[in-house]
Amino acid sequence: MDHSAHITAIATDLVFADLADHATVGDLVRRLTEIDGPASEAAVQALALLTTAPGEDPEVLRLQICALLDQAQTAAAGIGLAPALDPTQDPARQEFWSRTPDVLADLGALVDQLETDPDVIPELRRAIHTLKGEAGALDLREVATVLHAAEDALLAPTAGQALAQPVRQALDWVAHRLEDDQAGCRTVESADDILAAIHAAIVPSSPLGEVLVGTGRIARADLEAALAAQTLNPERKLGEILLDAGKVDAAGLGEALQAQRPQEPRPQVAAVSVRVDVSRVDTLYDAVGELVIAQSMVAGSPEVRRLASRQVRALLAQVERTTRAIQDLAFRLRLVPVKALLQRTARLTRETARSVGREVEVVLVGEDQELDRAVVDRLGEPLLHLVRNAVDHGLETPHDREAVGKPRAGRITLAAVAHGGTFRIEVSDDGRGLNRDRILAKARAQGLIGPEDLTDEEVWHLIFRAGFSTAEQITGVSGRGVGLDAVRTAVDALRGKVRIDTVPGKGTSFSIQLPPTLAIIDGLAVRAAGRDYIIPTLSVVATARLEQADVTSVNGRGRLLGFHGRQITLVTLADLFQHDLGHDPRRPLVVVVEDGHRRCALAVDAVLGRLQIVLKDVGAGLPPVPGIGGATIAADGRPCLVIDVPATITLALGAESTLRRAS
Amino acid sequence: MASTAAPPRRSRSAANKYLTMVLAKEHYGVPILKVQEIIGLQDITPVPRMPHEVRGVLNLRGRVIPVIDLRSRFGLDRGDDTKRTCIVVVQVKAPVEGAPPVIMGVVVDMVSEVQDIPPDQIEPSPAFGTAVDTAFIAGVGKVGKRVIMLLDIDRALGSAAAAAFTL
Repeated sequence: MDHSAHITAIATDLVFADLADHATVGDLVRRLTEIDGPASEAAVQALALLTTAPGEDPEVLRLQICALLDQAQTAAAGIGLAPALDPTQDPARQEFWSRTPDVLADLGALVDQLETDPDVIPELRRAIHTLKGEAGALDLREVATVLHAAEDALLAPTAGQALAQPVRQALDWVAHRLEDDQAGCRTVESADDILAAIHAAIVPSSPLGEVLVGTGRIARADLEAALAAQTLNPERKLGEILLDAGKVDAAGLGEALQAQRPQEPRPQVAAVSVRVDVSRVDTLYDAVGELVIAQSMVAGSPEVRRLASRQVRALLAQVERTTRAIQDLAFRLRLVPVKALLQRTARLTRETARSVGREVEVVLVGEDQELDRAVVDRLGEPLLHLVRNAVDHGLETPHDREAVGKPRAGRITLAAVAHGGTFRIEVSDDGRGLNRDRILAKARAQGLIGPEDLTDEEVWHLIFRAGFSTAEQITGVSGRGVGLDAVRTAVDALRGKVRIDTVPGKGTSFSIQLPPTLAIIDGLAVRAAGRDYIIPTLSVVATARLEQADVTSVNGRGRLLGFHGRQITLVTLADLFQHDLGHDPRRPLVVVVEDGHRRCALAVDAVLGRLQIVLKDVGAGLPPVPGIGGATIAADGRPCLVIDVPATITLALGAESTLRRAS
Repeated sequence: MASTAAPPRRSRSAANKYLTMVLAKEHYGVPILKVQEIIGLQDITPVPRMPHEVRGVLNLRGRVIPVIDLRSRFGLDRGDDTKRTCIVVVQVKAPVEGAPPVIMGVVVDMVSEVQDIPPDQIEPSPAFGTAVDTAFIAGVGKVGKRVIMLLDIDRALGSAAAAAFTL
């Protein structure tokens, strides 16, 4: 029988099956028992679930069984038995090779550091562990085994050179082995030799003696004599001494060496995880998004509602739940823990501190939080600038700290906090705090601002301006006036915002607030001149009725809105986007938006509500669209444009100043 | 092994095939290998501050793609849409080397058919005498008595994006 088609049929029926109905379940069970061959294992598991897990939530059960059927399908189709690819053609391996030299270089630097700083052991182990996992998944067993030995070597109770050496040996071997693999030859020594070398380096000599004594091959007195001889001649191995002294024969020694060797590392089991091209995940996500829209259009269709029986409605509800579950799963595929990012930043913080003569203690909080991979990749640089700034400008010298009664070592906290659908990364120090007067004086001297008075928040944000620096001394680390403006740029690109809290003498905290993912953001839908736009909620300060009394005309053209006692630029969104359609001015509303330090008010015709949207590119192939940060697919299936708030504010402020000049 | 097998025959014969379409009563052809699909005219979301030739963006199975009005692009009168107006979805070479092709939609008056035009039936584009900038024309194909202007879609649309960037 054609098992593949058979399984597909079962899976299809399962989606609509009423799992509380005995006859239906009985039928499924009967059909599952017909599956044999390679697919039978998964089928039996599915059977077990179906018959013995009645207390389970039927939807969870259904998903689990579907997953098993999927496995069965794969097995039946013989995909799991496909002949191995020519290794030099395997794109996953090629990708691995292309990346690994850099990884090995990073690891090498860590090993150098290991000689003086045992603090890097956990980081090094994790990095080696990750590489090992990848090698294992690609079926590069020897590489995985040697890396495993390197990991073990890091557990040895030694330090400094003795600890670093075997690890370095292992990494060098891996580098050599990969070069071989790429060149399609074999020049590297065998994995067994290198493993023996690593073990010899990490296992202190006495255990061999203990093994020999323990197995009754030599007497303890013989061992002590041999060890004494070894102290006189440390180059000689204990086994050789014993052999020469005739205390043990070669065979016995060989057996003891064998027994002494720790259990062989188990070969890595492949497929603990799979590497998937990000674009595939995105395509899946797009497809799921379409599914959600299609599902909601079917469910919301008046015709279906009119015709639907109770049973159809129940089925539709089930489709909806399953669709949401798939959407959630697809979304999670994009998430990675922030741990590696925080740890790397912590290491760079310590390095920076060393290079500028500060003492620092780095505290990590929330390492297990997960974030969209694309966001994590783009946070490294801004975080680096923030910690450099914190170390160089925030923390006082150890001497100064002692003088004000603080511990010599400054504390820098790197925290990842998920809160109410948004995500925050904080860099805080317990240093001297920002100096308002100095920042203002400097900014005025540099001509960044005029003589006007600024709120605290506006003053703090001056340090993000390009070219701004208050460091009196230019150090190798910061003070060149680059850095913090890069933070601003990077955070804008992520559609986040930066908040600064500072207390003189107590410290400063930079908090980067981000949407939880680049793909999904919370938005406010507005209508302007018949067209709908989404404004990311993170940037919305307030929405209000537009009261003419609050509006001041500037030279008859630009307009200002009084908002919380301050005057902010008011623009009509439709004018800004140059719609030629007339808008509906009867009940205008304003949405006040901000990008950290700048605010402006956008007049719109209506606010349609808040919603979660999947953010997409506004179509590659178009020139950059000023003021538009992306698009999303609205509930009716049409694209809806998403406003890029910082760019829109720039546009609005630019429009205003142009108008001022023109008049 | 797949790597040693001859390329599928389909692609060799497809190389001479062109999707022909009508724009302001003239016939144009686009290499069929560049065409992803043909879809009916549908709701297009206008994009602010874009040149006239950019009609906007549409949802193609969850992807947002730009839609260019080919008449406007070629400097022809932008006619009214009819029942036969449709959108040809094409894959344009990315401006960046190695990047995946850019998917774009182009609005045309109508599509007619797929024509086989062997290379010996194609003449270089004339220096003048066409309504369209000859830079966008890869050659002129002859099918019987009909003349079909073969578009260099990468240039016609690739430069659209660059040319449109006028801020």
